[in-house]
Amino acid sequence: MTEQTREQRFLALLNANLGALRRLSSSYAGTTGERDDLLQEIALALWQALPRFRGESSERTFLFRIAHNHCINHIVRRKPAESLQALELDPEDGARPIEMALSSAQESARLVEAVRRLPLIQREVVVLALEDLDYAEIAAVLGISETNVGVRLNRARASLRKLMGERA
Amino acid sequence: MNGPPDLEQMKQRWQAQAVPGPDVAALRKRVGIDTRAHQRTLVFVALATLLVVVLTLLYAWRSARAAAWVSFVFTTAFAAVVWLVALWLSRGTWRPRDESTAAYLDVSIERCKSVIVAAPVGIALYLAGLAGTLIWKQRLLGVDWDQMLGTPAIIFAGWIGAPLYSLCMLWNVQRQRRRLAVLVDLQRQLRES
Repeated sequence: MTEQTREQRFLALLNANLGALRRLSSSYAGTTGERDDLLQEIALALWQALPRFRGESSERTFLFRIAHNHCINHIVRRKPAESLQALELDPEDGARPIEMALSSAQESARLVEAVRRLPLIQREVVVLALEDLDYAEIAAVLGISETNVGVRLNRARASLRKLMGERA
Repeated sequence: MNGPPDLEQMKQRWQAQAVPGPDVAALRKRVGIDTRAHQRTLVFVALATLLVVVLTLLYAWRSARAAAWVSFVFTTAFAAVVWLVALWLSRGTWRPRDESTAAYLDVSIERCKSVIVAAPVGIALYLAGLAGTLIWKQRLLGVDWDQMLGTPAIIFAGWIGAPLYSLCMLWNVQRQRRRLAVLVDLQRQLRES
């Protein structure tokens, strides 16, 4: 791969997926600074990994794999004790849903907050699903079976429902 | 009354987020800076090693003393050992075998293990280098122990440097152990789920 081709593919991938990458980073990073650093790490990792891309998957899957791995690395590095704890959604948790909001922006914010509260094992699947990746793509990004994706996604949706509550 | 949203609604809400952040041009610029910094660091470490070896060679060349040649041989051998040990310990940790999460976790675990093993080796090499220098000075240059142990270089590299370096290494080992535990746990969860 020539430097020019590498540059073109890098810029094309970033241009096409910057919004998704920002959202992905945002769901794993606590602060704006952390999110920008994470985005930067992903961009650097993509640049380094591009010459190794052999077309075994789509470029989008390849990009999300890299991004997802760096997100995991980020949370393991940031707060190892909390990052992997399973979220126990007991009845009390269900009774304390995230505050309902009225505007669309607030609804998005509420969803983001709920996603951030998911345990990693569910969050990684749901974040990719929310970015419109299908089961096969999510399975390829995470290196798990499609059945496994379905199981995890169902659990994640149930957790999200509890977190987002049912009251108006 | 609003019920919990279904997946399609969630997708719409999720993708409607306005997440500010650096644009593509800023990211590209930063990637260039980081790549060059990484390359410069590697070149700097290699050049620093080469410089030390060349300086001891020049010193030996100009000096008529056999001790200077011993210094050159010792320094060159020591630098070679440090590089070989570093390369040996970092085998299998350069990059994941592919871009999958499983491969990424494997390589992250190997990196943690490598740092944990490297710490005592690093401390041992530091002390060996220090001891070799002291013995060389005492035996071949005839410098008195008391006089030598009070010099600024030995105070800085030995009395202060050795414990400080050891503490930093041990602190890093603790950090890596915690990280390793999390990574192993995550790997287990991913395999089980």
